[in-house]
Amino acid sequence: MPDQPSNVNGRLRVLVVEDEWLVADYIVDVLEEAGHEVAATAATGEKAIEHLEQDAIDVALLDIKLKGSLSGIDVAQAARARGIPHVFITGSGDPTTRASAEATGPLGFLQKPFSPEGLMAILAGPTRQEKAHGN
Amino acid sequence: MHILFVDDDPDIRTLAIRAVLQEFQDAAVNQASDLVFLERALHERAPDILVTDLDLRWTDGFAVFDRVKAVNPHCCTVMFTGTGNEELAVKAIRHGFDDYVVKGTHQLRRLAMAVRAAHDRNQELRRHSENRELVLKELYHRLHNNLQMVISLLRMTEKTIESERDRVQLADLGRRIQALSALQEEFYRSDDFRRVNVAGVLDRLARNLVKLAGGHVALSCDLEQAEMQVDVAVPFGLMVNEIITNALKHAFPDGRSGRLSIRLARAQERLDLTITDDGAGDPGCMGREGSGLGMRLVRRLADQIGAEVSYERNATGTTCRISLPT
Repeated sequence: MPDQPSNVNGRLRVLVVEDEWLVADYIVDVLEEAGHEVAATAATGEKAIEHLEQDAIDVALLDIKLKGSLSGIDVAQAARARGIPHVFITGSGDPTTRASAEATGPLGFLQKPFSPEGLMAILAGPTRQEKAHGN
Repeated sequence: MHILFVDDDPDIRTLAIRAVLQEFQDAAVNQASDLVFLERALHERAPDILVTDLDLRWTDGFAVFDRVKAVNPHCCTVMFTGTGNEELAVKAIRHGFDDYVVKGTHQLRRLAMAVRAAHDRNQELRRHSENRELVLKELYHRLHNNLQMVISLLRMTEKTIESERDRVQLADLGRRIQALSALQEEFYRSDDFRRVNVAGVLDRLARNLVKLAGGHVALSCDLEQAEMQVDVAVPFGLMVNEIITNALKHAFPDGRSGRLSIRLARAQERLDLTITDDGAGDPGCMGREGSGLGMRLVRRLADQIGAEVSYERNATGTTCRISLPT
């Protein structure tokens, strides 16, 4: 069972890790429109891990291929170690990459191009479950 | 490197092995003179190179080829036979052998050179194939990233538009691009880029659309397995995307619950798809031959692939039927 977002009132503090600013901007817009808070955005794995260490983050949205030496999978492992759940958003359809990403226990896996509804469905699912359990 | 020699005659095997090992000095060698030895050799280690006679007491060289290729599809294969004629040489090459050498005292050197050339050629082809695979992966990744950027640009543009109607049109365009991209992914995942299992495509498409709509509609799929060419499957998938999206939007408005049933069946040289909802069926719903872009797309795409589309509305809901030749 993957880690789940801790915020139960529906408003999540999200770390967006994406190296294409246009796509990052889209994700931020979708999140904010849905009432979530973007805690930070990062274009590299190194920067993302800094945010994981310093900021209060409920969930991390991760592209797999990033600028710099670290990949989204490396960031996922760092998030996992801190009990922060993560979602992959990737353009890669490579089964080997996908298997490595799945091994980190993500909340979900979104294939680019993705819809706002697709992202919200992944973020809403666990939150609903938690509410149902009265957490 | 592992080389397998298959011949009934032990002397010939010895001579052939000696000759070929001059080209591949570090290679490990296995021999087979009957089915048991062949299976044992294949079980021990898949060969990289096969040298086989054609006429064997227990089988023939073509059957040995098939068996070895089943274990290692990349195995390099050379037929070494005494029954040489042009017709057989052509048959061997057509079957997939990399080369063909007629037995003879002065032919052993030729066999060794043929095996070396075939092996090197095979290696080169594999390198090309691996490179092509890498390029394909990169292209795939780029395509999906670029489509995501198009969607991002559409959303940015959407924000600058005042008219609600125009904004909805732009959002619909984004969804159509996503549907196209999802269809593309099905081909990438399929073993053959030119054909796809349409039942799997429809199942994932419908489940995804129903899930994205909020999950208030129950979906039942009864889909017979059927393969479809890419040039038919893409327009067909886009049609189904429009019809289901329309049904979810109009037959089940405002989170109304209901059921959507999808059935795919093969009839005589035709494929029949029925999509049935038990929803509100208001005049905007799936059944209407309306003037909306979605319905226009369905009609034009149907014409393109020679499909017939019909709608039927009754008290319990609406059914859309698509029938297309296979």
